[in-house]
Amino acid sequence: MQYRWFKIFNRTEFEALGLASKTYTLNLEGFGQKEILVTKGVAVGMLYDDVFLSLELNDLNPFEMDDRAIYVDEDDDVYLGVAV
Amino acid sequence: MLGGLDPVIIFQFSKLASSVGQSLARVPVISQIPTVIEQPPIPVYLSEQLFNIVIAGTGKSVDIETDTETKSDGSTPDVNQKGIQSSVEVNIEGKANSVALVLLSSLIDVVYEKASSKEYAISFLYGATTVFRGVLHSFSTETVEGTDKLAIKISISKGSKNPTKPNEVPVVPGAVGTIPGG
Repeated sequence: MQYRWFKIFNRTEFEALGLASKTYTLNLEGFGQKEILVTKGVAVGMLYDDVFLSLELNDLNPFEMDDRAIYVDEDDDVYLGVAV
Repeated sequence: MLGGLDPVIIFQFSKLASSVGQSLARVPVISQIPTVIEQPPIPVYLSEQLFNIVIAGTGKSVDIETDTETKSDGSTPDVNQKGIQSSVEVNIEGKANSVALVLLSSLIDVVYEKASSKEYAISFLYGATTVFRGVLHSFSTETVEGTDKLAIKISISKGSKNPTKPNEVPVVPGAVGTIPGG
């Protein structure tokens, strides 16, 4: 499936903050201003438009759910994908 | 009265500079980019002869929160204080059709819209009662029964804050693919 990908945060930098969660307010091109909640539990995940995407769940990268996807690259940059 | 002149309320509005200034900062001929653009002050003279309005009275109040902490050993208690507000209250009476009152009321509406962005300041000069670059605390009007007069009550707090530009939301470009860059 084709997605429009947006870089949201860097996992290494987020984990270095020592926070359980952080809200990123970003203006996603074509979608406008959005608030994305990034949380850390057993794994790192993010909540976007009521869909929770868990990073590398079931060893899937990208992990896809409800026309959304989450992907982490070799630099630990985490991307949000929205189906097009 | 100030030096024989009428009491005056001065409204000073400002506007936060757009982010274009940040780009212009790279141009070597520009030494400083203003973050706040001050607009010309608007004085409203509270002249009885010209506008049929008169200062009915002024008052000043200072409110300080005080916490007293008594000691278990019976020694002198600690007193912690925090300033709540220092304000000047002005009572004005005037004819309802007075141009100055209409102007005053209109300017207060503008101030209301700029309360959160802090893009305004109010100065008031009346004899010994002066406030420079204060902020509006309250404003109310009521009719005086049986007359064509209006009673106006304005409270101005001391201490204006400079407006600050809210953090801009970063724009994230999107790229289409099965994976980013793919």
